[in-house]
Amino acid sequence: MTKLTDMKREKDSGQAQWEYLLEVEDLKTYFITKAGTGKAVDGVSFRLKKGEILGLIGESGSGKSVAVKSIMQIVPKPGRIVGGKVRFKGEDLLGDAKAIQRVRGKDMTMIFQEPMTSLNPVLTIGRQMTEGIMLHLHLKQKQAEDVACKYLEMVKIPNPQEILKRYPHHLSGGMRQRVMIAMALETNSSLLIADEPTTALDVTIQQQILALIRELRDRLNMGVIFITHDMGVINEISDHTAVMYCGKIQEYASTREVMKNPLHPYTQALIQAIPRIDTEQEELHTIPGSVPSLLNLPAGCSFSNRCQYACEQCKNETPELYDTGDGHFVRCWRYADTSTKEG
Amino acid sequence: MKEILRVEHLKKYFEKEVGFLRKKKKVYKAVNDVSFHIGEGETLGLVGESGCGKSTTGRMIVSLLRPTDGAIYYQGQDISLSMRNKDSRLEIKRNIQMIFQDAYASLDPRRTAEEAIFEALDIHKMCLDPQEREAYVNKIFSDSGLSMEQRKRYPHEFSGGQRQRIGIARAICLQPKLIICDEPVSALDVSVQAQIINNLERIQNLYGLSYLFISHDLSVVKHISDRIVVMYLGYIVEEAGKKELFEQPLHPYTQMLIRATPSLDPDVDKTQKLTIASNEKNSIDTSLIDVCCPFANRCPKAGEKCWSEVPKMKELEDGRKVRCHLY
Repeated sequence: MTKLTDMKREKDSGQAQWEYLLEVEDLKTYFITKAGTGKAVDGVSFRLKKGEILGLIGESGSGKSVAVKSIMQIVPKPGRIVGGKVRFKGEDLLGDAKAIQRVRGKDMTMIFQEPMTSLNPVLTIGRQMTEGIMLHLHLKQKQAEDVACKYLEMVKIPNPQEILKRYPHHLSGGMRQRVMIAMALETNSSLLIADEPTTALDVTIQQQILALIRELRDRLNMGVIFITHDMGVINEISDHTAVMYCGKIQEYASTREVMKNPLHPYTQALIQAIPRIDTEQEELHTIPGSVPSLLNLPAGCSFSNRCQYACEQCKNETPELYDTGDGHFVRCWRYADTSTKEG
Repeated sequence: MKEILRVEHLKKYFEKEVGFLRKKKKVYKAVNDVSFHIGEGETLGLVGESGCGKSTTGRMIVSLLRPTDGAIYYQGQDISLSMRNKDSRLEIKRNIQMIFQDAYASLDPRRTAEEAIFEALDIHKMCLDPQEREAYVNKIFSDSGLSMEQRKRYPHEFSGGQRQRIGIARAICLQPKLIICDEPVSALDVSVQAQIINNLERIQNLYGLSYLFISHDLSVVKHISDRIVVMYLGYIVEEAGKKELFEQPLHPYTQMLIRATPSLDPDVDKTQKLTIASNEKNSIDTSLIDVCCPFANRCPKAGEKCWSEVPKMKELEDGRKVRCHLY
């Protein structure tokens, strides 16, 4: 196993002209339908360093899944990437049509919420795991199985040889998700995109998977984009956090900063709305209304119709992402007022 | 506090015919030994991971499933006896209502929101006068947080949170005494989840309801309940008041659950959480049911006795109940 990681480091040090593993700039993905244009991702920008875990949090319909699917260029129809740049290891993936085929599934891999729907039920785990290795690393079946075993061991699955012969329905939910992670890593991937990987799992299993992802990050020094709707999970796993709402990043900062000193009213409300296990609350804070339809967004700031601080400006003009210093970005006209009111 | 519901040694086994020509029978033991009671106006939280039998327990209480063994008493009356007579059956069904996790699946797609409520009122012959009914349905809708113009809409026209509100309206329209809430907020976004939880609490005060709140989310259960029972593989492993349970969890499984629940505290020690996770052994093993302690394979403190004997529910001196050989 040490051999593998050493190999990886050598390979990486050979081409260290890029500073960021992934740079996303003004990414726009629209769903063009007869009913109108839904701006699912509308100008998303962020950067990810090697060995960093970026948490992407938002409610359903906030565009977090579409954003990462755009990075992988697997947006379902009628969605279309209409603008922006995605630079992976310094290489622009959107400009060159063949570039994505070289890295997708090899250097850039993805795991999904429900592992059972990503695994093929009629093929053995071994057959599915070796497919990627044989395709991308050009190995023979036998060698590919050895590699698969190594990675199954890495995700702490006992008797990997045995597991290779099993079918997905033989495994429990937690085990399946581990197989998916092993499958994502086995081609020496340097960027793992995890789309709500623990949402369908029980809390104790979730804790194991979170610990595993952290550990693998430390060991393989890979970048991770972790999508979730759970603030608690974000707090436990990510280094930086981006809060998404209606296709835009509303706040971006280190996770500690987001949890301790949230500046955007949406982030504040989101944190206050969660029942907490460690303190006592009388009544839960609620955000009035619900997430607006993408076809019918309010003018100006997209949160203005639910925001308690909203003023005239918020209803007419769309705010930019301000840098408030220390790498804390917030998309709000009134962030200066909200931070003072936050007790 | 007056007792409204008592459940004693409830069991539910599911049988499946397997093998060549379906000659063999395989028994799945979903609920093995569940006993608890709910007082008037009280919220009892029922928490456990998937497959622990918490929903099966709820379904048995509303008579959607017939228990294999054990008894359910509503206000001192055995439900299985009341079910034989048509009038008393209607009476019990009116008093014990249920809110489901998936509100969309529990609503008829071809009936409007108000029709869902009319049906319940028709069956129980309540508010038969049209004017009275009109006013009553309006009241129920506003109590559940829905507006009047939403009465004539179909389920697909509502958002997830609003559909759950229809589920609540349908449950409270019969003026029940007890509502079984089976994961009512699990499918909702956090901001909507908070609205529904607050609404449930408001309705409880308004109507003097008791809740059995079933959920896998410890923090939600903690917020809403007065008392909590923890289930594991069909057994109740611990029962305690909310405060005691979170301050000093006794059963190793409860301790594990509480530590595994993600915390919102940015200063929480993540390295400590890591060691818990890596110490953790295999997952749920159903073959341990009725053989030894069902939690023995995952328990960090399991001793010899845990592997040989099924633990019984013990009541400790301070009134707390726990099913573990350590106490």
